[in-house]
Amino acid sequence: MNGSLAKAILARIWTALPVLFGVLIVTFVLIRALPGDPAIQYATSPNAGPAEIEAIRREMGLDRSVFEQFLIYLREIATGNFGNSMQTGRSVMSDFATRLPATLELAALAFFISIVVSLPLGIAAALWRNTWFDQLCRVMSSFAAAMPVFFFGLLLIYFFYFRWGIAAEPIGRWPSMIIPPDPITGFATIDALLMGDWELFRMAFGKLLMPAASMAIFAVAPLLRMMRGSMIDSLESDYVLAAKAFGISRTRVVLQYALPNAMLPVFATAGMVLSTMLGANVMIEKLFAWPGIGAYAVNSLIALDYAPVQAFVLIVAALFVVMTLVIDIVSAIVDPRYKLRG
Amino acid sequence: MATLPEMLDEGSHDKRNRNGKAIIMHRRDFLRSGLAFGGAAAVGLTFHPRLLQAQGQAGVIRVIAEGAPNTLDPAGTGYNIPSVNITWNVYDRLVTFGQAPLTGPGQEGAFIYDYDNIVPQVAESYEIVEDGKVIRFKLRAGATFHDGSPVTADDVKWSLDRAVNVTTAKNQMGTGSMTDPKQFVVVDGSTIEVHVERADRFTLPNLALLFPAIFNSKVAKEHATAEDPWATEWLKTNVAGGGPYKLGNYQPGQQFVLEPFADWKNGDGPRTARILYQIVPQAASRRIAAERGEADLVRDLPGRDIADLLSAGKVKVLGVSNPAAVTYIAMNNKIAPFDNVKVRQAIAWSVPYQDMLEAVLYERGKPMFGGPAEVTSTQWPSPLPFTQDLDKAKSLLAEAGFPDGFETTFSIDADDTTVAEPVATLMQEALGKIGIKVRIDKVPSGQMGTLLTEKKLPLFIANAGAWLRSPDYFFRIFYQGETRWNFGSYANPEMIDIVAKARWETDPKKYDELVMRMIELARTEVPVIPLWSAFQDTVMSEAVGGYTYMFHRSLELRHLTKA
Repeated sequence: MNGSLAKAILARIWTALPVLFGVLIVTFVLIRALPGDPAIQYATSPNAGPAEIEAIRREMGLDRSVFEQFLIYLREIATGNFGNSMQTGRSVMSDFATRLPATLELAALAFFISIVVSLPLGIAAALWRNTWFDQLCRVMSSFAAAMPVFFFGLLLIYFFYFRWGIAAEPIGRWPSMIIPPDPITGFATIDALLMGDWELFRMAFGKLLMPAASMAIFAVAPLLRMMRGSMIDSLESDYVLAAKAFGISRTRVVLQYALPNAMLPVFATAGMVLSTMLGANVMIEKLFAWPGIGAYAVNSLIALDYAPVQAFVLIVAALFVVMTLVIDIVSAIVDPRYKLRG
Repeated sequence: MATLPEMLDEGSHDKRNRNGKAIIMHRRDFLRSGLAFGGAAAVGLTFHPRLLQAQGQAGVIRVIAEGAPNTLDPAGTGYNIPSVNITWNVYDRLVTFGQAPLTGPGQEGAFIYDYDNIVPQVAESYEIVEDGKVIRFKLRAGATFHDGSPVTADDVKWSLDRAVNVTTAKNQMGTGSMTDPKQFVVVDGSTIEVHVERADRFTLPNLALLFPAIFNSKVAKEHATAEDPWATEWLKTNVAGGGPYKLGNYQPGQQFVLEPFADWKNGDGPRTARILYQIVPQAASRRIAAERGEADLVRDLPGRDIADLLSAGKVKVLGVSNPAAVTYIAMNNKIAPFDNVKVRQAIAWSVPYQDMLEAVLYERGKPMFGGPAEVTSTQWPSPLPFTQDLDKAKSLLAEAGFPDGFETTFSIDADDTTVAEPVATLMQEALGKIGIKVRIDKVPSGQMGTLLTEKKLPLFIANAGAWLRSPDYFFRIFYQGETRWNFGSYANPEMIDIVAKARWETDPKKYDELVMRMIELARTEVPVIPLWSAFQDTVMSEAVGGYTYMFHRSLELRHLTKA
């Protein structure tokens, strides 16, 4: 079993490589197809003339042919160099080293909150179908789905921070009166724990709460609906009827027979939700001045800063590959019918 | 493991930070307001008893702004405006601008740079000799860089050589007749001369701008390579300066701390407080911080938020308009029908100036319209006589041969929703009344610069701001030439001629006559339509004093105090 699992994982990674290479080519070509000239964008001196623009074009290597640029890019990537960001002046890799953990940490907590809220509610709604509770869940999920994430974030800030002053100031990952510690893992809460500093941990965690809650809201609707729907299917299935007929207790029927079978589509949805949280939370990042990768990539795109955008797409693509793999593995463990294919 | 309060008792912050520990930073306000822990309160953190001891520490001035610096090199390729907040304060220049008190309502206690008073900074004194062809700078004895090494004439020479060589600085230095390293002559260890071919009124002010910052050349040279003789790669992410502040903890894209440089000798200023500069991209979040009094300086708030804050009357807002900046509606004089002066005049008389100022800027700007009918002073920029007069506009349009109007496109930066978009909408409405059909075209920001450089847009909004305040300098950049800054693509032979004449005119009376003519042309030919000079609004806490507005609009920190 273990050997075949490892084999399947290796095979999966092997097939992912051409996909990633394709992503690399498409991003490289697409971003250069954007209208606008980066050399002009970065000729910021007040007396910038054509000569200066040309000089900047040469400095940025954009005077070479696209094919030549691509070869250079491949060579650099092979050595782990993703280029420099014109937005921060640092190497793209060091930017991602600080920003990716911030995004992952936020997404992890948001994902956790949305799972903890929506799965029990979804199960309960399925069990008490068409009761007032089910209707309430329906209203809640419609509301959550209809509400823009950004707006919900603003509401949270307005009440919890602005009016009542009980939440952390919605700016960044650390309170303003401390100078942030140098990262160990880059995950603020984990670093604080590693340093054995509980107050630091509480500060970092407090800063995570509001943005994570704002992000969680959009995930509640799909997860809750999916959980409810597949639980209902499962409860009406032959094996559950059979189990009931055998006189097995209701709790056992639900937990042992219905729930595991209902989880498969929920996992798939959860995978999608987590992917979205990782890649597309620009508004939340901006609203809470959260130093994540989403806003970083969008700012770079707007500013015609090629290197970070290319790296972002590649990294997010790689994350997706890993995540689908993890979901498949988990699904295979939960449901023996599900085959993990290489 | 050290706990927070233990760390408070230690001396050097940099050192501790390298050890990867957290440092409590004290803000006097937060203790007073009880919001102190803002965040921390939510997770049950109470006041730490030993935190109060931190009150003895130097204050922290907390700044909240929109943009993140993208380089630490004052003349870095593609440097952005937020980066000036660091580079201006961690580097000195040979000379700098003096201060003059601001006198407008609500501006008490604040200062603005004095263009006509150039004071020594790294230099202890300077003298202009040989009919202005040589400026001799005497350096200060005992002045050092942040690393403790003395500032020598060789450092100054290397820095000025660099400024005339690196791409970004080169052209600007050229406007002050400085193009060749040979012009910078080291006389002895503490004397350096700048030689120019003929006396140039822009040489000295150019030395007070961002680019000719004085680097610690010994350190910089260590990081120079054959391909990169001016250490541009290294200086992008490192500071080798001797300015009034040192760069402390820096988290790119999030925040940075500036620590006062205790041994700074190149000027006055109390510099007791540390500066914490935080980047908050969303205006709503910045406004909340301003409204709650959580920061000492909050910048980059839209006019609407400022107007709201002012009417609520809870915070102090300092609005300063740049005396050499104007927002224009630009018409491409090379594209028909804007090549017709009557068409341009018709449009200038149809702009709903006052409505725009109120609805778009919430009156956070100085009008550049409704001025006197005749040119009466050499003061520039100053208001032109235009107001909205649709009858006049209609008849001018008929005279131009467009009695039924025409169709055109107004291009705006898709990201500029606070100013450009409403201006375009109001223009569309106003021009519709005289028969001109306007289509609004939203252009992605990245593309805007390219289109402007290629001179492809017929009608758009543009900001002109000059670092050097002489009127001829303004007209040279914005009313002639081939760069994108000549927004109107204006090519009037007379303007080109008198701008060139004024460049070297030494007789003040003749110079004034030439400037009057330039303003006259700007008024009669209206290649571009001035709207206003927008305020730079800063929400300030009561505790902060000594605020000084600099020509570059970024923070000048050395005069700032915190009570």
